[in-house]
Amino acid sequence: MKKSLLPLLASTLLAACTAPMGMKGAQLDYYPSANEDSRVLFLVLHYTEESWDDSLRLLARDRAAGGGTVSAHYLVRDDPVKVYQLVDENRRAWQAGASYWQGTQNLNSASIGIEIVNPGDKNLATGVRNGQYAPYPAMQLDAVVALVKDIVARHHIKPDRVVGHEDIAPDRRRDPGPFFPWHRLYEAGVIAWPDAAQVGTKTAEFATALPSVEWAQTKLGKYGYLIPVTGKLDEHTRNVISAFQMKYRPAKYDGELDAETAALIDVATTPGGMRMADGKALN
Amino acid sequence: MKKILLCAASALVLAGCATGPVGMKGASLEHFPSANQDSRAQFLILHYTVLDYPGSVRALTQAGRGVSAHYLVRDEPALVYQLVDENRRSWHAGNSYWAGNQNLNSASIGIEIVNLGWKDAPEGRVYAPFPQAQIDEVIRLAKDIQARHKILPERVLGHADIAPGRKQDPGPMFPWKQLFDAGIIPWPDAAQVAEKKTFFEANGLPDAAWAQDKLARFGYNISHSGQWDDGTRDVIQTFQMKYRPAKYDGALDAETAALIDVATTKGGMLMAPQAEPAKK
Repeated sequence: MKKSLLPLLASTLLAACTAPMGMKGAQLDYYPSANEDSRVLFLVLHYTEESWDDSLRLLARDRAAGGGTVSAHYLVRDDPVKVYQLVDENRRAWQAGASYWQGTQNLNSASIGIEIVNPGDKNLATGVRNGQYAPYPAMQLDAVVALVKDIVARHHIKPDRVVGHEDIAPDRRRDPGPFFPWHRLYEAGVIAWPDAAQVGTKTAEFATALPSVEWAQTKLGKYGYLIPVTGKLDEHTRNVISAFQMKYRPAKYDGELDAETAALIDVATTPGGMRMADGKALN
Repeated sequence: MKKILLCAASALVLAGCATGPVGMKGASLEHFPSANQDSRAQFLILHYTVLDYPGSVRALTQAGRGVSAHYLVRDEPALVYQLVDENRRSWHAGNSYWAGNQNLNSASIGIEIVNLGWKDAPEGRVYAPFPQAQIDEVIRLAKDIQARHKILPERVLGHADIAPGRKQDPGPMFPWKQLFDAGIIPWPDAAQVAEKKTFFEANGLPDAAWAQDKLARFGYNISHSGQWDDGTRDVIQTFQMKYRPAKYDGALDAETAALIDVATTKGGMLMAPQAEPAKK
């Protein structure tokens, strides 16, 4: 009797463990479909613009307890460097807000968010943004890269869907800002990068004649940004170009369409132009 | 000894099960649960399969078919099958839009209902009916999902709502009114609709721009062309299939205009009063 009980109990417990998340009922049968994947299609990086204490309070507590109406799945502390999980990956964190990338609007349900403790360009004493961005400690970046690699591998997130908050909400947000070294995510095999040789050739070409703003808007829209083709270098277009520059040409992110920026945009939207660190073309 | 083994085995199994939140595993990770979170599932979408039960199971589960749903509700006998874990994304909504949200697969749970859809007959397009036992199962399932994920009543939708023109399902034979009666979705207040209908009959019908503006506000993806174009007709037809299924010609008559008006007026959409649970 006891002998037969053991495997029975174990299998019952295992069944309870492996059963799919869903309605419970005696009538329900499970026919697993091959046609499914993770709800998580995007990974969004942020900086908190707050100290560690305030970051944790705003992201973890509700409004009644002095928090914000915001959160993220992970929070990466600066000193000491440590990764905190705030929201189960199966749940929706409130981090993206009004957002758009590659034909998808309102990305919270479809993304995982990582907040990095960093003041951005905000003076935390006065609350004023002054355009002087704060660097990230190297150890904190190591932790972010390790976390990103882990999430991307488990959810099979595509390289062109690992984005900054500034990419998906360029008029509202600047994070993770020009000091976030996206190139390290390229080196880690997470994101693609415009092929340097092609960018060199195109930069020389565009130095004699820049393409039109309409051209840039069309290309950046194809790349993933929400950008109407107005033909004018309006504020929104500048914000999008600046977000693009912060990632691929962080030395200068003035939102102007110069020859190098145009070359980066061109190569980024040309088949075979975006390469992974192992040399493979993204598309 | 056996007793100890039993306990050890069950503890081991339980430990493997109760591992805390889903996420990165590692010694350096700490958990600090946030109050600011909810379900990834914000929408519940209803479909019909246009296939019989065996065909539906094959299409929705076999690799390479490219489609699925979280649940399949069989017609005969009326049974519910789960095909995809609710924590995972099933591929049911496709190119879709509702109220500022695009591509709803990541944000929704999908229910497929075994039903053959429509056939073109000499007398026009004929839709297949749903057995009441099957509808009862759909309602039971929808209530359960809605309660667990706290899905808002106005976010329980048909595939046609989020992809009008491209999709008709669950079609005019699907009794949305029963979902209202069950407390799942809201419904335009009948008294206000009657009043507005009289008004539009007396004063003439509003124009296409009015209808487009209201239907966009309601949630549909509709262009503001100011013309009675195909896209507008598709959306009106979809709206009619839900709230006025006796006639779904896609034309703006007085009753349809009244329904649209009330549906987009504050206080116009009502929930059915639900009976208090019996006290023991």
